[in-house]
Amino acid sequence: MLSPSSSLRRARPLLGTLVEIKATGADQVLSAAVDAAFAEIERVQRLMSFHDPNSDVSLLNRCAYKRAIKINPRTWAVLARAREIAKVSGGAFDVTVAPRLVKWGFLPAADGAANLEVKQDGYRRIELLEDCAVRFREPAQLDLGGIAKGYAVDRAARALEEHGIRDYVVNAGGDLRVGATAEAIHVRHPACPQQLIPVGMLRTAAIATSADYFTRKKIGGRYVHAIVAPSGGRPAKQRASVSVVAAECMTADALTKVAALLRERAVSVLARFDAEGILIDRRGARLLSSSARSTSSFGVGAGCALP
Amino acid sequence: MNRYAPWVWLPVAAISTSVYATTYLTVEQAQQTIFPGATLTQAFVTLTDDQKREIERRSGVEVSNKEVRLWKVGSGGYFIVDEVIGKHEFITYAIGLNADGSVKQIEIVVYRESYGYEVRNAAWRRQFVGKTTGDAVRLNQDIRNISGATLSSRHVADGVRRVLATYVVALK
Repeated sequence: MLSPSSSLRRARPLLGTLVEIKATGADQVLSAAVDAAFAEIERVQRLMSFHDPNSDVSLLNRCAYKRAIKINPRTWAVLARAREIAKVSGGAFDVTVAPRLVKWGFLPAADGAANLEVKQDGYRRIELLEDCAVRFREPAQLDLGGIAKGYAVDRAARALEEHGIRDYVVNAGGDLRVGATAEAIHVRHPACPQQLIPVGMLRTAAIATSADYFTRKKIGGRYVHAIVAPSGGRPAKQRASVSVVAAECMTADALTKVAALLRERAVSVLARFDAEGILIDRRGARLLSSSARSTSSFGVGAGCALP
Repeated sequence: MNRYAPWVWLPVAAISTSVYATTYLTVEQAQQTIFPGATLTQAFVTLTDDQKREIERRSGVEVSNKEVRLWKVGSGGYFIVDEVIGKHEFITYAIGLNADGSVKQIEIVVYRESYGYEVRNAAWRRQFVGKTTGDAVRLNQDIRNISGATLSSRHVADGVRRVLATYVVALK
């Protein structure tokens, strides 16, 4: 006999955003499963926060240039995926662009890091050693803000699955992963975020979106974006929203940065990770996909004046 | 080839959401979530002008309501319901404090998002007053999965700082 099942929807302030978990499953495990999922997100936050002086990231930034530092396997796994995406994208994704983000005020300043260089292939300074150890070949400032949120979502999804929950949505400020039942996914219009664009149905996969509507800043008379190219440290183009669908949210999260910088040229990088993207800007919506069925572009609805 | 078999890009026009709200919990459910099985007793605390000023000085956050929605927990600790207002969002949240004043858990009770003047408009906000306790607020409750930079949790973080200062100034 099937045990009684119900649905739960909870939200907590974590990862600098509101993290929402919806889950459906057997009554006797549901609440414990959701608690375990949130606990896993808190753990990832503690390990990978740029702000927390006790995180692995802060520890590496303070000490890894002087000696190899042993870190949590979770942090190491994120660094390994970050390196893979950096290599395949020709350095478009790079976890060492933090000094530019600090300069523009997207990240707080840390001791002694203000004058670090942002350069092409800067990620190569980070050496991944055996036994979850890491060493910096040169001084570097690491920031996992472009990938850790997606990883936290993956870990939360795994915690739910380990409790036998198959139907769920974990949404950490737009980095979102869906379980066994298909869910309609919306993205915000990049120029008027009150408009929601239904982009598709998603099941057993993840989607992440990057856009600047809530995060851009005006510096030196022009707006800058929180995504910067390692080469020259230039910001991504403005007023666009980029979403990437992939099996894992960590991959989707990191690939949105690649897609925001490379746009149409990101298609081959996305394909290497079995991912697809959608780019929405003032010209409409375009799919970033090598698949034949999805080469057409379509409008995203009128009624929104670009400021 | 599309690896995500159910994934279909839908060429559909945008829908407008000037107001959007999600009720996660009633206050009673939030109490049971944060302090399972505990006995909670409502306490009525009204801050004095001096306390208000001191809380604002310590937290750097304005105290907009001198009535603290507070429950004492039988085993020690407090349960507090508070509200924060951002540019587009109006959030009711519950916070559990351990007996030593540290944060036990935070749960969002109701999240409301609005574009236009409404969030900053006191008359608009008044429609929600008291409604979180019993009936859920019914606005636009369709379940929406929004992928895309959502608003930050900075205002909730500010609210938590204010609650912790309130604990030190008025409850400790």
